[in-house]
Amino acid sequence: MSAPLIDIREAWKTYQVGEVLIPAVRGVSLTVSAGEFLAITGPSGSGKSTFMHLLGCLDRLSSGSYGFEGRRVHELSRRELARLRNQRIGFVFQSFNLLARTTIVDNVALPLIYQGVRRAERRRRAAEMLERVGLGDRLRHHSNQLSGGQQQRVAVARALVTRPGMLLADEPTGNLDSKTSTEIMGLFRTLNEQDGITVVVVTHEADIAAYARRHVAFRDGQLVQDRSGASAA
Amino acid sequence: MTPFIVLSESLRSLGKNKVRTALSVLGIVIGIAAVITMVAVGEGAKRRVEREIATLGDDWILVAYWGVQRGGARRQQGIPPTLTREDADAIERECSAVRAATPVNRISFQAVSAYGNYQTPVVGTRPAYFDIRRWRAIEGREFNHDDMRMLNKVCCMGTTVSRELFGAMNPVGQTVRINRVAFEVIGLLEPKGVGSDGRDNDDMILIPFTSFERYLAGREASGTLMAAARHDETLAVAKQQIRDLLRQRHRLPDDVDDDFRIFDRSLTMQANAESSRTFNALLTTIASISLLVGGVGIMNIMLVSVTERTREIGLRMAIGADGAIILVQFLWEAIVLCGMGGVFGFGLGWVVSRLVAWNYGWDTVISYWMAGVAIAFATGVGLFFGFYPAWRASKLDPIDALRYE
Repeated sequence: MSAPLIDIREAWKTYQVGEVLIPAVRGVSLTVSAGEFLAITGPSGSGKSTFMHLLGCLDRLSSGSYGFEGRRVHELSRRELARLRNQRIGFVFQSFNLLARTTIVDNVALPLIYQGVRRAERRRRAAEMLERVGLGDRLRHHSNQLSGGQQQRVAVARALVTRPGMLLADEPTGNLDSKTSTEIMGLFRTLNEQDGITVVVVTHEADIAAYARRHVAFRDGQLVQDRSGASAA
Repeated sequence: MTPFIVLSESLRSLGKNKVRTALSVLGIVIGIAAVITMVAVGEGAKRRVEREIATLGDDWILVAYWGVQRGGARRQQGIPPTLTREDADAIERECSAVRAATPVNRISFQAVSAYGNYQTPVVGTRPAYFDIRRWRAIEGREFNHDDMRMLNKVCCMGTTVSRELFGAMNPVGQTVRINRVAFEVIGLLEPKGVGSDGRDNDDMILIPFTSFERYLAGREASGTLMAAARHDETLAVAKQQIRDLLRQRHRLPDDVDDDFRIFDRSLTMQANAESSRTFNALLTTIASISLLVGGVGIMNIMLVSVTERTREIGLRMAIGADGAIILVQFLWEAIVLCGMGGVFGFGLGWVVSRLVAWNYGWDTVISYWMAGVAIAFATGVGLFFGFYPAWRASKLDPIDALRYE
């Protein structure tokens, strides 16, 4: 693919707190090609979370430009951003964010509701995706009946059910023990290597970042390091 | 399309919290039930008054003749004996809103039976009178046109007269002497009790008009006639037609006052209906306030729900719901809550109305349009009180909402 998946140039994000302007992201430029496995690291307060929100189209740039799959994201309205997130970006959160008292198949089908997909079709696609993450036998379970690792798998299935252009994971192993962390990161790697899904993981843990093939480090709102390294495992 | 897909999401979130859903619906249920009961009782009371008026035959029109009024002084003119008969015929024939009319002559006589005597009004009239006053015989029969034509010496009497003259006996077949003329009692009329004007309706003897003229009235002419409106016409129309016709028949120029007056009970009826309507409106207002309180309850519970589900809202926004969809989802929840309240409230109101009817012997009327109105109104309450919480939810920032603890 010639055009990069992500093309961010001179991205600034400033927050106004009272009279004071606080720059959280200060002139970051980054390009990511389709099929990459990228880790964004940095200590807390480094601006990596803010940058992730920008990447995920949850927030808008104060200045600069953001191209995603050739679309000029910085010019889109709130509603258009919502549609872009719905169709092209899959989110995985630290705290899973599954709907309680809801079956996992309905949890996974949730993004499809906002695409207007019919119920039977939603169920079918959700079941298929749960199969892929190894939970095909528990479709009718409720999310609170599952372990943390299984819940995160459900979240991954939900993120992928719309066949997005990018999987964006924010501290995906933050609530998991090391064994299940390894499983989840292994799942990401499989999805990346076998299905060619672009994965961006935001983390502050070096051993989690080590699963990625490209590492980007943040400090004080700026990109201080960008290297493609051999993976740790 | 999407609003209806989101409806299933709303139903599911309501289903997740059944106890809370039930409790928040309760306020609306009680409010709607109160309104339904009040309206049912009010309708029942109205229906009852209407029925009483109808059974009492209180919807008559009375035309009384007097002299022409001129220059402030009323000059008594002799009424030609034929006048009321011909007027009554003309009214029946020409006034489309009138179903029956009859001359009525009323003179007080001493009535004598084998057992006693009693001073009572004796009324000469035509058989149409029984229709006009919706009066019928409970023993024997009413007099008819044959009795009129043949100048039969027959009479019908009210229960008061019967008691005075015959005690507990059945008067039918007995003889009453009125002005030394013997009349056979052919009918005992159903008791009507004391009318709204305070007069005892049952204290009266009725005699065919022709016989009355021949044997009792002599040359004394009837001064009144009575008429009744058709069921599908209002009293006012009938009165207007009668007035126009009589003015024309009496050849009254435009600048001359009527030589008759038309009375009816519509003013009293209206006043009664008005006061019961006012009272009922007051009760319904109070019931509506409880519905309002129910609505505020819904708003409160929706606000709690929005706060509690902030993270869920954040997630939904992150995976692609825009503000409008979130708004619609929460609005649906409020509408469904209140709509359910409307349905159950109607049911409860129906039950309570039945209990009231059964326990207090009141009439209550539940009409099915009220169900529609109740549900529509409850839904409106949901829309109104659900909007603010839903709007708050839709304005959340996805990032803040996701971080919310």
